[in-house]
Amino acid sequence: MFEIYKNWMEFFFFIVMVIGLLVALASPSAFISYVIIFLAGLVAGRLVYSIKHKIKLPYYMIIVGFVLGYLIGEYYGSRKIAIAVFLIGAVASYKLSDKGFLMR
Amino acid sequence: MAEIVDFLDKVKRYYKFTPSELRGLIISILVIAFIISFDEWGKESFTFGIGLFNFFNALLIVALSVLVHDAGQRLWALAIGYRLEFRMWSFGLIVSLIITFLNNGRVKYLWIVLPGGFMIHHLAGHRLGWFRHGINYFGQAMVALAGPLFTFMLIILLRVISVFSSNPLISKAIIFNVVYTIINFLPIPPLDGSKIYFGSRMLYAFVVPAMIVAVILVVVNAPIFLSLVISFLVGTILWLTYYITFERKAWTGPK
Repeated sequence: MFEIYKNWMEFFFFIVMVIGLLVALASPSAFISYVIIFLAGLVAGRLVYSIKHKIKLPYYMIIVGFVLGYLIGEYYGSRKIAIAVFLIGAVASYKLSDKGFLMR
Repeated sequence: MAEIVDFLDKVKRYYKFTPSELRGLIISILVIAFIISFDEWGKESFTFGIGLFNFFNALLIVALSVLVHDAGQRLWALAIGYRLEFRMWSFGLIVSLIITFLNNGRVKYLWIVLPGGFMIHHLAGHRLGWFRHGINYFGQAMVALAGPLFTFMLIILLRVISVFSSNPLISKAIIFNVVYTIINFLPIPPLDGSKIYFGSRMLYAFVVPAMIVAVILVVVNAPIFLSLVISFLVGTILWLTYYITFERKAWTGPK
């Protein structure tokens, strides 16, 4: 039987992937889809910063789940640009958090 | 008289914003202003001038509303011997932006505004003589409640002004404050609703329906006194219903 507390990484991987897919399908144009993936990158960067001193793999997997879902649902824009924009957002957010610009 | 002098002194000493609070407030206000002016950058095509004008109007509305909300909580916190610190919620702001972009102006007034919450600091000297000297959940709930109450008073003030001179800016300010109040009552940390909920479930069961009904009635032009009475009744009925159906059985006390 599936137990969430033992398999929470897989569970959230799936949930977040579905959310990513739905968000990507709902985005009305390529530009907006890039903006959304950039914002998601900001969240991911912040999340990675907040788990700096913890076990990281499950969180990385969950982030990858979102990006995968998003890329599957990406309809208007290019997938390569989406990945690049996501990484730019994540790195920017990590650096900003490190410098204390992004709070809680 | 001594209490007033003491309170004024506390305001003078502790009301000011720290640099990190100021940065958080400015970022929150800019992001929320962008959200509420998102679909006003030109009618058929993108027009920068019109957009900038609407963004500036939105900035005024949001700054007024957020600062009034914050002032309510800050003053209340000082009155009961705490110092309040505004904490921007970056995740909340980003989620608000994502929802705004996804909506793309299709549903009007779908403004998910999640600016942040607050943290309270204990002013040990000013809490002397209080029954519960330290920081406690109920005190925090009362501080959280002051924000939506001040926002509600702002809504009433704006409604009175709009009776004498109605204009789109005031109407938008009223709608924004209604949305802001309702969203702030959600029990999601770090929003005010979560602090009220964890402070006292019974208080939450009374305040949330009462405030939401009051705010909506004021907006739909019901007389203000009648709105207050009806909202009080609705709040009381739901409070009692919640007590009878859940709280009475959930908490029986020590056995």
